[in-house]
Amino acid sequence: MVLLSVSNLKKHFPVKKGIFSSTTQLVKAVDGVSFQLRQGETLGLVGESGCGKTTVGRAILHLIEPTSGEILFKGENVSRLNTRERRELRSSMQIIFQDPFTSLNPRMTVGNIIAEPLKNQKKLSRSERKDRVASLMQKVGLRPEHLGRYPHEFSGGQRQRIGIARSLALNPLVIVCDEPVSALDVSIQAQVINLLVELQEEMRISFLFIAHDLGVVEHISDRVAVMYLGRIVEMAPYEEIYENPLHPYTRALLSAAPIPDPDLKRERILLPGDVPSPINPPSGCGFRTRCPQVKPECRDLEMQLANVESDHWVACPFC
Amino acid sequence: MQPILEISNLITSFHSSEETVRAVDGLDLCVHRGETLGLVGESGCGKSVTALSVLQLLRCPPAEIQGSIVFNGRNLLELSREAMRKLRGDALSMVFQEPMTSLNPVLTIDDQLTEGIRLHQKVSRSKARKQALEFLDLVRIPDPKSRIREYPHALSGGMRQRVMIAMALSCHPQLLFADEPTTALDVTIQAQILELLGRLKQQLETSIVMITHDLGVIAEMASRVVVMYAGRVVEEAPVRELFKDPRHPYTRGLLGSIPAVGRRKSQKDRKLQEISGIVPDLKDLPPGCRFHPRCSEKMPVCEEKEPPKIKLGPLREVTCWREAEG
Repeated sequence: MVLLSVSNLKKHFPVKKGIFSSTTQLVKAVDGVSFQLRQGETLGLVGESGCGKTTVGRAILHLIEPTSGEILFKGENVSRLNTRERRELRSSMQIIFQDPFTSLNPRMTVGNIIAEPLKNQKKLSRSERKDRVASLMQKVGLRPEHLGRYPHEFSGGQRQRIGIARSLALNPLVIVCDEPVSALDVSIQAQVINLLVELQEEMRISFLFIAHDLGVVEHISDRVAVMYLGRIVEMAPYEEIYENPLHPYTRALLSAAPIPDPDLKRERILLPGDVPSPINPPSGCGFRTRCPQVKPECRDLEMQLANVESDHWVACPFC
Repeated sequence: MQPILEISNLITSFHSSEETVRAVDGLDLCVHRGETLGLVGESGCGKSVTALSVLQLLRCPPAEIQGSIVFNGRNLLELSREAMRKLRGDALSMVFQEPMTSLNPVLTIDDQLTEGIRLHQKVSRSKARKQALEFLDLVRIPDPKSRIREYPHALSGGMRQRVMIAMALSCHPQLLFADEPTTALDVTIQAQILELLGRLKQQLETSIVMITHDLGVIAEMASRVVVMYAGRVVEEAPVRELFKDPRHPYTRGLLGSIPAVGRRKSQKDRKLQEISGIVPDLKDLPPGCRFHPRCSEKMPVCEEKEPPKIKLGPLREVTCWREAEG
């Protein structure tokens, strides 16, 4: 069942200049992104910094207002909801933030941090709330007796567990995980990834898993979408993306990922230069300035995802 | 192989009014001529402090460096500040982690790049500029003539890291410390920088100590690896042997916990191997082996006595009671 359906999502940030703050340019952070998220699945969203993956996650939750596009949650258009309805919707869609050091209020106890969504959304008695917080803490591997402690008393991995407990408080259907493990050391990263996988299996939550680490995304995702310069360039089940990548950017990205095996000798595709600025993206295909297989026609192409095989979508007509 | 750097029993401690913390505690390390040594470990294990101790870039006090650091036959800890300054940036150099913050924002690339060259080589400004341009070209910065006049903010992260590398290599160092040189960069840019470092190493015959937490980068770049945990070396091995036959439980745990690209299909279930618990607080270290509270193979002796260093081969060492028993 499709839970979340995003079509042609755009978010343009104005660049204001001069004394009258007139908008002179637009940063096209997200420029036409479409995908669907099914119940209980994990869709990995990968790409390099500045490609717009975080903006997609936040626009879906309406933490930032999208410029245009349609977001349907269980068939209902999220953009048309009024404030009260949107507030209700938030209980089914939650987020886990990247930085466990800044995403928890340092002046609130862990118990209060986890209880806050419950206070806002559910009419529970004090003792019911306390029980719920204790069971949530247990679920994510924290000791319930620590609920009176403050965030600074916990390590990075534990803080990320607090963030996860908070996002689970309202039994959401969708959780946007925005780089949830990139700030953690590998041994701790493995603990948090295992926790997320376990929780998903138990609670049938759908994850939109935003990350730049290709290994982490492969491990956790059912399907993967690769973003470049505000658009999805390729989207397919994870086996397809990792074993049969079609888009030249996906191929280059995969060949660039360092693999912990000294015997593995790979053909590395080195992309020249840097990602172009989203203020002034190249015409036609956004990747053409770095593409090893660029053709003269790419200048006038529209980057459009096309279905090549069942469930494998690519935004390049030459592959 | 003759070592270019030999560190023995290095203890780097930081003093504060209440307590003393040993960030590096009895480290022995040796770098051979022409090799790339990988120094791995999680945050707080003392790998950066080791590099900073060698280059003496730590403010003393609060820091205190003890032991011996022999570079080219001279103990760096006995050198005067002046002699050390002559060495730093010349024969001994470093690339820092953050290309965004380790360049001076109010000086042009030209100023920053020629400063080191003029300080160490006593050449004219125009000659130094010529050398600087050659190095910018070497690290493949397009259009170096116009780039050299720009300020760091005008360059992208990858470009800034290239400038840092050009700066570190500008006096042909014999030994280069690269402290997480690609951690702040995207994978495609990381690939460019790693390729560049590998090529320059061949060209300039520099020995490199590559500090990183990324075992993928190590597998690609290093010829030999030293694994650190809580201020100490736990395992030392040639790169192939370390990845094929890790002997310390911590190394095994680290290798097992990485979800590497292409690994999922060979795994039976979705569970990644974890190392339970967290890195110990340096102010409150466990007795015996420092890894024992997290170790899945611990024995009673691990909790009481510090593990011995066991030589497994000419270039292999492991500090673990398990190996001592067997």
